[in-house]
Amino acid sequence: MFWEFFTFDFKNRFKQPMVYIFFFINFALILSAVLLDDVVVGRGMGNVDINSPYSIMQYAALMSLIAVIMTTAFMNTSALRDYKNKYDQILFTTPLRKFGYLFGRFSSGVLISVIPLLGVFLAIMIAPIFPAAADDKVGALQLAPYINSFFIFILPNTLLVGAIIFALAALFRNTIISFLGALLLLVGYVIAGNMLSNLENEQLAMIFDPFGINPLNLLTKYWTADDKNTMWLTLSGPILWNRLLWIGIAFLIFAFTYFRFSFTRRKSRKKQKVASTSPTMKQSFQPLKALPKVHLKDNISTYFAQFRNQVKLEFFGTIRSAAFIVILVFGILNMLSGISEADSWYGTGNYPVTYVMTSAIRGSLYLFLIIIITYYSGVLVWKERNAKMNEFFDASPFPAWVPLLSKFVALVGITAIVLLVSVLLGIIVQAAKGYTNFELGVYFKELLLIDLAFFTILIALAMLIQVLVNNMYLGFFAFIVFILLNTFIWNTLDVESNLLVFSGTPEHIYSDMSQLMPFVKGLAWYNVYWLLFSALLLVGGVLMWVRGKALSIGDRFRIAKQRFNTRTALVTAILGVLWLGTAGFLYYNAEVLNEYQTREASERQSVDYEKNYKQYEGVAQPRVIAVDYDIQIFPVERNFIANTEVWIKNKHDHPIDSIHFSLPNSFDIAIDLPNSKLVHENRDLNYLIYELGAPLAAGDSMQYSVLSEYITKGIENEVSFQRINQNGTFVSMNSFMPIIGYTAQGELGSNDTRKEYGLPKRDRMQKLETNCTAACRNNYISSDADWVKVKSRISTTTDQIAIAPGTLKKEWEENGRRYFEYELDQPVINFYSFMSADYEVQRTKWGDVDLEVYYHKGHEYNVDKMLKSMENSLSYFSENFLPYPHQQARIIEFPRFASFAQAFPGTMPYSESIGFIANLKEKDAIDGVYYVVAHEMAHQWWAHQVIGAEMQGATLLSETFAQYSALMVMEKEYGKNKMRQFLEYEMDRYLRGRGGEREEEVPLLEVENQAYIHYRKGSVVMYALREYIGEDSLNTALRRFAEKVAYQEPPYTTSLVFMEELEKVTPDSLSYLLDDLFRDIILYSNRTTKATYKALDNGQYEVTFQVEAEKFRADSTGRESAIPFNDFIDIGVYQKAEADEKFGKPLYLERKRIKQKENTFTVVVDELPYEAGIDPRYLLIDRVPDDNMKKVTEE
Amino acid sequence: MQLQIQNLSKTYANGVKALNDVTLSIPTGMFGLLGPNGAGKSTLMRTIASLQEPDSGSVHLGDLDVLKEKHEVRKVLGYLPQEFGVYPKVSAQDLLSHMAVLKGVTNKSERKDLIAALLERVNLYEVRKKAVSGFSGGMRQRFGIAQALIGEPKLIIVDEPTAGLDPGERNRFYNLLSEIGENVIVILSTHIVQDVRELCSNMAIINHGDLLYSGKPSDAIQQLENMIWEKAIEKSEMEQYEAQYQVISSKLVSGRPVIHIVSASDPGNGFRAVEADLEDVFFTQVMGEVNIE
Repeated sequence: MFWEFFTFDFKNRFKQPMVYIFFFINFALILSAVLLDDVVVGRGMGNVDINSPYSIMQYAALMSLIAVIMTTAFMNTSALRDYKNKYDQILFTTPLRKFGYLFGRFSSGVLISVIPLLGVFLAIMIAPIFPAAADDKVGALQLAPYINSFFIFILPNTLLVGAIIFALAALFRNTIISFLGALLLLVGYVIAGNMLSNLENEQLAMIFDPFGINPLNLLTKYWTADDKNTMWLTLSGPILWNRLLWIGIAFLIFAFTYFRFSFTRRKSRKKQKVASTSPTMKQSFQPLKALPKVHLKDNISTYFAQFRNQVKLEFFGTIRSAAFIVILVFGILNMLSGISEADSWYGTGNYPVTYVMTSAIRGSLYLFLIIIITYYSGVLVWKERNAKMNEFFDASPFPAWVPLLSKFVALVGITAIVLLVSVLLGIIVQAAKGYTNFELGVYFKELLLIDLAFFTILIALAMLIQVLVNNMYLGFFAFIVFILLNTFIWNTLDVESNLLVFSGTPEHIYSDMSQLMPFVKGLAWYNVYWLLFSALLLVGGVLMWVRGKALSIGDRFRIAKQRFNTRTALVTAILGVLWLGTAGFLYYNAEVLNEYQTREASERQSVDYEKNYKQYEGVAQPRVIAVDYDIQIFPVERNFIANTEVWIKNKHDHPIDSIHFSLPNSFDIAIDLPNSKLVHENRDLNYLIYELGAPLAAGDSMQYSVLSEYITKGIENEVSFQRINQNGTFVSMNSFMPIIGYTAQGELGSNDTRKEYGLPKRDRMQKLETNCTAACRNNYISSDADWVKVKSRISTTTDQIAIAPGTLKKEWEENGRRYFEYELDQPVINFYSFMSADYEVQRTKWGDVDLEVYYHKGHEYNVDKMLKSMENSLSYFSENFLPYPHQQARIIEFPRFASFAQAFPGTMPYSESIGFIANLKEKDAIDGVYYVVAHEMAHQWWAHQVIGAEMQGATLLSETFAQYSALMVMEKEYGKNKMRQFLEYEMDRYLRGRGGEREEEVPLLEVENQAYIHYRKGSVVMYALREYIGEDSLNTALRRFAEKVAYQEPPYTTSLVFMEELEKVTPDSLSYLLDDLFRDIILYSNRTTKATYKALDNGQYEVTFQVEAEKFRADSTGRESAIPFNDFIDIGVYQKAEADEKFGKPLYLERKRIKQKENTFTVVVDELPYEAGIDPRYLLIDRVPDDNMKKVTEE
Repeated sequence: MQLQIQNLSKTYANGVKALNDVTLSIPTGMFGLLGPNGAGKSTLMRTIASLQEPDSGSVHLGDLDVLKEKHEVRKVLGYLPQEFGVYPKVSAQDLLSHMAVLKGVTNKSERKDLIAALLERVNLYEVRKKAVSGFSGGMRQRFGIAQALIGEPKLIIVDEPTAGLDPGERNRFYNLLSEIGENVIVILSTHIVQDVRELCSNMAIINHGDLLYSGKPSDAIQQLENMIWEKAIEKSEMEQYEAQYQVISSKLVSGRPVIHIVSASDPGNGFRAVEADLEDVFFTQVMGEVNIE
C-alpha cells in the first residue's frame, strides 16, 4: 500500500512543472551567486574556489533552509491533494491502510522537495565551464562533498521541514496556515539562530541547531582558504548527533500526525449547506422562459471592453496563484536580506538613500522577476489551452489581438505590481532605519520607468517565443537560451551596439548630484527603439496566434495571411516606419556622429600602439616644467574645452631634434608646436612626431599650445566620459593632455591578453634596484614631467563653482559665465584635476591654511567630520614629517560614477558614494570618512612631496605611508581599541586579496601597485612596526627620509632608501622584524586554546591560558612552510567591552619572547577578566585572526 | 438560411483522412451528425466553427463564407466543444459574464439580465458563485450550453454533448437543446443513435471522413423497410452467421447475442422480420459494404 501511494504520487508530481521551475530557480540563483560578484546569496564565500567543498556545504545548508517555502508548496499539495481534487470521497471510503497512505504521501513529498535542491549542486558543478569563472578559482570536481552535503543538510532538513508542514497541512487542511507555518519557521529560526550562536557552550549550540548551520559554521571556523578548498565535513561527531536528533524529531512529528489524522472528513457547516442545495437534486427542466434580448456589438469599443475584461482576468488569476506567491515571497525574502545590509563598508553602513535601495532591489529581486516573466509568459499564452477551454473561447467573435495583447498587458501589470511592492519594501526598510527622505521620483524613474521598460521588452519577446514555438516547455527553454545567448554571444562576436544587443540601452548610474541627466536622452531613445521593436514582435505574435485546433504550420501561415488585413498592414507599416526611423536616427547618432570602440578594437589599438612605437620608449624628450590652462566647462551641453600653454625644457645634456606625443583617447587634440614640422601622424593610434626646425639645446626650454575639446554630440551608444556631466564634472589633466613621448600606460597590461595578441610577457613593474639612475628617471605617476608650475583660468555656468588646483586668485562673472583663476604656490607633480558643480561650501582655517569642503546640498552629514580630520591630519603630519606646502586643502564631492577619493595637490576629489552618505551614528563602527580624509591628506606628503621611482616598492612610499599616517591620526581620535578593529578588517582584506592575486605575491618592499599589499598589508605592517619600535623612532625614520627626498629631481628614490633610514632607528634585537615585515611574506598562526581564571582571596584574579604559535613563510605562489622562530609576541588579558564598544580595556599586556608552539601563561589581574590570549591587537599577520583571544571561564 | 458544405476535405499530417470530399447542406432545425468515434465528426464541426482549416472545399452559412469571414461567423455562432474545461477558480457567473463580453454583450445591465436568465435556464443559478472547475460533468455540460446560447446564435454546434452523462443528466440536457428556437441551425454530433432519433429532423452519417447518408431519419428508416431481420443465436455460432449473412449488429439480450441482418428477402433459418430503426440505418451505413437499393 505504501509503495503504491508512494510511486503513484511521485510519478504524478514529477510531471508537474513546479518541480522544474523550483529546480531552475535554485540553479539560477546559485549559478549567479558563484559566478557574479554582484549577486550574493546568503553571505559571501570569501577567497575560496567557486566549487570548493566549503561552498558546496554552505550553499547546501543555506538553500535547504531557504527552500522551506518550496518544500511547503510540495508538502502541502501532498497532504491536501485528495481533498482538492474531491477524490477524497472515493479514496477514503476504501479500506486502505492509513500508514501506507500517509507515509506514502509523506515520503513522495519529501523526495520531490529534494529534487529542486539538486539544482544547487548542478549550478556549482557546471559553474567552472562558464567564461565568468576565473581559472584560479576553480578546483577539481569531487563527488564526496556533494554526497556528504546531501546527507548532512539537504535530506535531513527537507525531512524535518516536510514533517512539520505535512503535519500542519494534514491537520488544518488550509494552504494559508501551511505557508504561515513555514514563514514562522524561518523567522523563528533566524531569531533562535542568533541566540544559539551567542551560546557560550559551543557543543550545545551545535546540537540544538535544527538545520545544522551552526555546527557547520563552528566546525569550519578555523579553516583557511586552502582548507576550505580541500576539506569537507562528514557525517560524524557532533554533526552526526545533531542530525540523528533532528531526524528523530522529524519522525516524532510524523508519528504525531499519524495518530491525529483521521479519515473522516472535517465537516464544515458551509460544505453541508452546499450539499443540501446541490442543483443536481432539483429538477433541471425549467418552464421555458425567453432569454432577454441583448444587443451584440461589434466595434472597436467592444474590442476594448473584451480586452479590458481579459486583462483583468489574466492579472487577478495570476497574482492569486500559489506559484506566483511562492516565487514572490522567495524573491522578497532574498531582497529583504539584500537591502537591509546594502553597502556596508568597514562595518559602516550608508544612509539608505534611494539609489542604494534601488540597486539593492536590482541585485536581489530581478532574477526572480525574470523567472516570473519566463514562467507566466508561457502560462498565460497557454492559459486557455491548459484549461481546455480554448475551443469555445477561440470561437468567440473577438479580434485576434485581444488575447495576446491582454496577456501581454496583464504580465506587464504583474511586473509593475512586483516592482511597486519592492518600492514599498524599500520605503519600509528606509523608514525602519530612520531615514525619511523617500525619493519617490527616483524609485519611479529607476524601477517603474527604466526597468519596467526593460521588462516590457522582455515580456513581448517571451510571449512571441511562446506563440511561435507553440509548446510551453520548449518555449521556456527557447526563451532562456535566447536570454543566455543575448548575454554572452555579443561579447564573443565583439558587438556592442545597443541597436543589436536585444533590449540594449546605454548603461546608467544614478547620482544624487547629476541624477540621471547624462543618460536621459540615450535611455529614452533606445527604449523607444526597443519598445517599437517589441510592438512589432507583438504584431507578429498576433498574426501567428494560435486560434483553433490541430493547425499545421501551413494553416498558421494561411491564417496569419488572412489576419494581415489592411488595418493590420497599416499598423505594421506605421510601427515599422517609426522603428526604422528610430533605428536610422540612433545609427546616425551612435555610429556616424559619434563613434565607439569595441573591446577588441581598443585592445587592437593598444597592441598596434606598442608594436609601432615601443621603439621610441626612452628616446630623449624634453620635460614639462610649467603649464597654463584656460578651461571652459559647459555642464548642460556636457562640453569641455581647454586651451593650454605648456613650457618644456631639455633636461638632457644633448640637443633634442624631435618631439613625440601620445594623445589621449577621448578628446580631440590640436597641438601648435612653433617652428616645427609634423613628420608622423597616426590619429588612430594617437601618436604624433614633430621635427623641430632648430634642435632644442641642452638646458633650453620652449613653449607650445594644445587645444583639447570634448564636445558631446547627439546620442551615444554608451554615454562616454561621464566625468563631464550636468552637475559634478571631474576631469583629470591626463585625460585631456598629450603625454610627451611613448608611454607604457598605452600598452596592454594583462599578460593573458598580451599572449592572445602575440606580445611578450611584461613585468608589472621594474625590478627593485639599488642606486638606480636611468631606471629611476620617472616617478610612478608622470613620465614626462618632474615638478611643474601650474596656473589655471577656468569658467563654468553661473550656478556652479569651478575648481582647479592652487590658490584662488580672482573670481568674476562675464557674459553669463563664471570665471575663476587659480595658481599653485608650489611646483607639483604633473597630476591634478578640474571640477565644476553646484556646490555648497563649508570652510574653516587651520593656521593660515584654508580648509574647504565642497559638497552637494543634502550631503552635509559628515562634512564637519571631514574638516576635523583635515585639521588633525595637518597637525600630526606637519609636526612629525614636513610642513604643509599649500595655502589650502579642499575636499570636493563628485558623482558616484567612480567610488574613490584621490589626492591632487591641495585638492581631494571624493566620491559621493564613499562617505558623504555614510551613517556614522553607530558608535561601534569604524569612522571610514575620518580615515579616508586622513589618508588623502597624508598623500599631500606621501606622493605629492615624496614620490618613488616607477619601480617595485613605489606605492610603499605613498599608499602604505598614507595608511600609516591615517592610522596615527585615527588612533589619536578614536583610541587603540578602534585600531584593533580596523586592523582586523585590513588583515581580513589582505588575506582575501592574496587569494585573488593573478600573478604573484611579493614582499611589501617590492610591492607592484597591488592594493591588497600596499593598503591592507601596509596598514598592519606599519602599525606593528610602530608598536614594536615606537612611534617616535618610526616617525623619525619617516621624517629623515622625507627631508632627504622630498621634491627631488630624477633619479627618484626607492623603498630601499627608506629601509636604510628604518634600520638606523631599529634596535638590533628587532632587526629580524624588518625582514619579516618588509622583505618576506610571513604569516603566523596564533591561537588561544584554553583560558580560565580564578578569583584570589585578595580580590585579584589569576588567569591561566594556553596559546599556540606557529610561523610560516609564504613563497610567491602562496605556498606556506612552517619556520622556526624566536619572536616577540604580545600576551594579554582584557576586560569585557563597554556596551557600545567592540573591545574591552586591557588588564594585562606584555610582550614576550615566544619560541615554541605551545605555551602556557599565568598572570594576576586586578579586575574581572573577560578574554585572554596571544597577540590581542592583531599586530602580526595571522592566517586565522579571530581565534587569538578566548573568553575566560571560571576554573 | 442554411449551411452549405461543399467538397470539404481534410487529411492530417499523420495521414488520417478526416474528411473526404464532404458535400452537405444543413437546414434550420436540429441536425444530427452521426458517426462512430473517430469518423471525422469533430473535424467537420470545428471546421464549421471556424477553428480548423480544411485542405479544400468551402463552407457557407447563408451568404457568409465561413472559411474566410471567420469573425462574422463567430458573431452568430454558439459552440459547445466535445470536451472542455474552464479557467480554474472562476465562478460560473463570472465566466459566463466574461464569455458574454467576448461575444459582444458589452452593456452591463443587459449582460447581467442575460446571465441570470441563462443560469436559470440551465438551472445553475444557485451555484452561480461556485467555480465551474469544481462542477460535476452534467453541471459543466449545462454551463457549456449556457455559454453557447449567449447572444441568440444562428448556428449552434454541440459536439458529443452527452458523452459521459448519466441518463438523467442526458435527458435534462436534451430538454435544454429542444428549447432552442426553430429558426436556428443546431448541429448535434454524436455517436449515439438514440440522440438523433429523439431530437433531430435531419441527419447525416459519416465514417472515415466519408459522408454516407444525409436526409431525414424517417427516410433512412423507410429505405430499410422490410429488410431487417433478427435472430437470437449462440455465441459460438457468431462466426458462422457473419460469414453467411450481412450482419449489421449484435447485442446481448439476457446474455445471448441477438443479431440483426440486412436482407431484401426473407432469409428463413429462424430469422424474423423486425421494423427497421435508426440504429439499423446507422449500422448498415457504417458497415459500408451493405448495398441498399
